[in-house]
Amino acid sequence: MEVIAERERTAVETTVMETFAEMAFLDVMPSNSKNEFGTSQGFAVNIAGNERLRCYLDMSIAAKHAVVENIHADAWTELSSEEIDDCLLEILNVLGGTLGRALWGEAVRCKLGFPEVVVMMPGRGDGVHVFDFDAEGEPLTVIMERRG
Amino acid sequence: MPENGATIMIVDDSSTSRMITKRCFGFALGEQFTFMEATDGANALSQLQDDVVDLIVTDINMPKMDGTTFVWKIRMSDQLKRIPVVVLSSMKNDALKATLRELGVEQFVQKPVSPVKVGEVMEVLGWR
Repeated sequence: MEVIAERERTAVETTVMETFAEMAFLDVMPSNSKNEFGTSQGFAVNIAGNERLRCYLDMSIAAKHAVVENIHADAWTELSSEEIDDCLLEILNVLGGTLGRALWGEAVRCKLGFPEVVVMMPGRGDGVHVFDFDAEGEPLTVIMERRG
Repeated sequence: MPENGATIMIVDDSSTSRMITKRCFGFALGEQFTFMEATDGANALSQLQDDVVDLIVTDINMPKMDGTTFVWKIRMSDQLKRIPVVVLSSMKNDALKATLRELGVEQFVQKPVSPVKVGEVMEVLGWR
């Protein structure tokens, strides 16, 4: 597996913590445990700047509930599946844009794809960088894949 | 700000983002606004043929017609070119800001949007 620079690790961790705090009022902290991921629907977005990245977001059902309910200020059961997916995709959209700026700065033209729902996620052994987080007791995982 | 309550058009393909933006305008300005919503630039232009708005708040990264093209089309229209535009996007870089500046857009809010960020921009526009 590639070694990730400390600066890049800090950029990813800071971006994740700040985005979830500001958008979803959720305390998300880097975790030393190795989260399980890929067991349910995840999300992905392409980010292009100095290099091409694909960023995956995975979280437990309970974490999804917390994010969506905090943003909507409404119960999960009151929301449609479209509203729920849109909410989770939007947080990835914000995360992707913020991450591009954190990694490469504002001098680099960063292009963001459209976030999408994915059912297949890369695994830990697939040459990707896995960032494990704890979202108020629930696993939340960000996976960065370099695409040249 | 118009005396009899303003109409704000929010252009964003995410319904969540539109909801958050509306909430932030309410918190920031403490006013009741009439909101119009559009899912992309093309949808917004279609609605603007029939309706008058006082402010446009638009995302950049949208399907069908992105925010930059949308703003360019507004600026090319005699009917619409004087409507103030605020760009709200998760992307922020010098090239995008330069493009928007050429289109006469100085007000840029980076997502995640907050009442504080909205308040600062609206103060510059003289709405607060």
